[in-house]
Amino acid sequence: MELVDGVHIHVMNSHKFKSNVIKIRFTSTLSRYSVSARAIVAAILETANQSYPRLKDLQRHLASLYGAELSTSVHIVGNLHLVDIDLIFVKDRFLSKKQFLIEGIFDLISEVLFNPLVEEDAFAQPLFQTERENLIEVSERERENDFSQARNESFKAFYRGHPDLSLANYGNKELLESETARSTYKEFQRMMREDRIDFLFFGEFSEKMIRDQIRSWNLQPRKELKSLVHFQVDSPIVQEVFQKAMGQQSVLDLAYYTPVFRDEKSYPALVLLNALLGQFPHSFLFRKIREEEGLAYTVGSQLHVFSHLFRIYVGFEAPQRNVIFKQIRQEMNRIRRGFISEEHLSMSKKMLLNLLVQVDDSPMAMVERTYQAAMFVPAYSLDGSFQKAIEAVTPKDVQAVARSLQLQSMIFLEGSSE
Amino acid sequence: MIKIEEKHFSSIDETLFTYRFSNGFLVRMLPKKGFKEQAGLLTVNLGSLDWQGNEPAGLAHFLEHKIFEAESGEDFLLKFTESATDSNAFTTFGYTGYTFSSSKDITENTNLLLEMISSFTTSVEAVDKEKEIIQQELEMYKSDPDQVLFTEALARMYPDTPLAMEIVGDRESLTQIDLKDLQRIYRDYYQPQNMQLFLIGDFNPQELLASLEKRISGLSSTVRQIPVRSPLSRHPVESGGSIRMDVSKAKLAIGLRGNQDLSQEDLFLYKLKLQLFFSLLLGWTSQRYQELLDAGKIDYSFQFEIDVQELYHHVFFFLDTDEPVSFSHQLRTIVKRFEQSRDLSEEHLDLLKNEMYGDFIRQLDHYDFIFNNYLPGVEGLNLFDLPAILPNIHLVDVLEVGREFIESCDMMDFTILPNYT
Repeated sequence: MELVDGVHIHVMNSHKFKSNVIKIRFTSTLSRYSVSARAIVAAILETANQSYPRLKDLQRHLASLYGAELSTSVHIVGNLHLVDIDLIFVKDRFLSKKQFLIEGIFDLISEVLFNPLVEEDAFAQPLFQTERENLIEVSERERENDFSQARNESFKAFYRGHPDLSLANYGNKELLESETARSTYKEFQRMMREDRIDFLFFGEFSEKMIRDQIRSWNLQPRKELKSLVHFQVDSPIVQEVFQKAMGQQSVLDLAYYTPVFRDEKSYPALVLLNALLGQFPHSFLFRKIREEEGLAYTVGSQLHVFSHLFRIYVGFEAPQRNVIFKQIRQEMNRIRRGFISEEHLSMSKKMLLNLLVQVDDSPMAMVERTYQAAMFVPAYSLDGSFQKAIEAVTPKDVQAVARSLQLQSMIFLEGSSE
Repeated sequence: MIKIEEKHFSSIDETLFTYRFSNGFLVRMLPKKGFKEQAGLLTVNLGSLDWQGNEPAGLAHFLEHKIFEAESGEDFLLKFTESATDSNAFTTFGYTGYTFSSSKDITENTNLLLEMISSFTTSVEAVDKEKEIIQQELEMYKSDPDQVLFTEALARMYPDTPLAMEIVGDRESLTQIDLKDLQRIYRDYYQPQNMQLFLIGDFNPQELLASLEKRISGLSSTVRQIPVRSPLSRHPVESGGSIRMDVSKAKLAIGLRGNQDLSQEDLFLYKLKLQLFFSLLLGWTSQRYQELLDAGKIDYSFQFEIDVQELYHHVFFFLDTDEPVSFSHQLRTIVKRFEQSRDLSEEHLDLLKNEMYGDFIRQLDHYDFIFNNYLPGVEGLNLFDLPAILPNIHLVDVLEVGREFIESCDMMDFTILPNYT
């Protein structure tokens, strides 16, 4: 239900699990001018507030709520930047004493949202400093990991002309350094005023209690978000980037453009292409490069559904680069020429359907599914079922989407030989 | 009908079914109503600790890789995939584990898993090819600074023992591994009395067990004595070591090697108490943690890990720091003078017990948590006993364990320093 414009409540009742889950999600348009401030806000909210001004105080309070977990995270989906506040806590029936944990949880949420640790229109300086420093270190550590470094370079090359999209979910070091305790607090105020907010509940809740509680916070209506997903055109030029890797292992990261979107008829075939190429242990790249040739240990592919990107990545010993690249091209070309066995395809379908079923076993995955359904156009389906659409995909369909992929960039991090 | 041992844990609303076959094979089953996923973990008591001085390192892990090869040369990984099942395997110091997970029929998958471990057939060529893959795996570990920090620190805590070697072996030992070694350890360790199977999902335990009976009973029990794992030799710890890598900040590991003699039955309770002790002293609800944080001595990378096994137990602190030498000194002093700590109160302990209880309940929704934390093949208290024993743990018990541990432990540290470029 929509409480006021842009403030949504979703309640899903389930008795299956031992814990309750609450997600409060702030959604805004992705922009380099706010992304790092939002990441710092997220880090601050999970660390302290006016009532629990130090990490220790908040952690002690959470411990007293039977180890309730309060965590925040930030994400980029298409053109959107999300700030999540997650709470997971034990259901009352597992507590030895008769208690209603939910009351304590709502008090805590209200502290987090309405009683931040602020001094003169800015987040408390030491808190801000610590959290920003910590994020800067996260960004440095990511640079030390060759796979994430290759992925970041891949984003940069792929989204050329759209610098915002190539940012990490916390922005980058320079953006983090440009934020102040004041600018960050301003962004938090803006989030509370202008962001779309989704309150998602999964578990054993009273809907009425939730509604009354959230209504009492008096959140004001906000404007609707525009252009949720990112549209990109392909480029005729393949960009190549060479860098030194940190470790001995080399990493190759290839970015392909795909014209296919979620609500299009060929979308299920694209999902299957990913499954056939690199998602599973029976996938072609895994079989060929790892199992048959013993050239690599890590190899996989990933689909970025909301922004036209399909990636392949491999970690291997430096001198093998040309061999690896040739193998990937060969496997891709085989699919493009239609060498896809029914057996492989049906295996991939089964694995995908299995994953879809297992969403039911994860409260967080259910919550995510609910948000996506509310936010985006639904994935292409047959008779309302994405499962059916997956089952109906033919080798020819996969061949067609494979042919529509365009290589956009190659990132190579060269490992040091001993 | 098979008589299965059934144990109901009322406070957590779970029932564990246990059955030991006459050949020694142990099955545990935890039914989960309404769950779609059905999963299994088979463990073989064979890990890198079973290394005999005269053989190349990395055998247990190598065997884990090659078990997936079927007699026909086919790959079991693919067979699992055919029935839409994820499968995986891992080797630790103490055991080898094989897992599967699927929304499809658990009987079929379990039988496939049992079929896989019931024979070992491979060729010299296949073994040689596998060496290349494991070589890559080794490279991957070596390029991860946190992984390197842990393995190098552990090696210096337990010099000249199997814990000082990579589980996967090293470049040289890998080249020395041959088919005969693998056949020998398969024959010696992959015996029914040396294996346990843990199954979780929405199933009827009686029916499931009946459908597995034939294959499990058929596992050849050669009644061969399983080689006994030798105790670890206690050489002095090596402290103050360092290496250089491409990291932006130094990575410090501070290790406390315990020297108590623990029996299998004590492990679970001992670990619980040690966990509570160090959480009191330096956990993030402690005054001390907050002070170190405020003083800029630690950041969020600070964490500790406690490992309690029959043959060894220790505590490791890890963190990224610009002052590894002085911080190592400071932390060791805090530990040695723990009696002066203001954090060791009954009230603080109650808080931590509450937290531990809640954490435990919440984690029961996750199969991985159960698989990772249920001690395989261990007599005595185990994971699901936690709600019953937690209320009976008092500050004096925790302090006693902590005091004994600290008084007799050996301390060491190891650092990864940044490269000068």
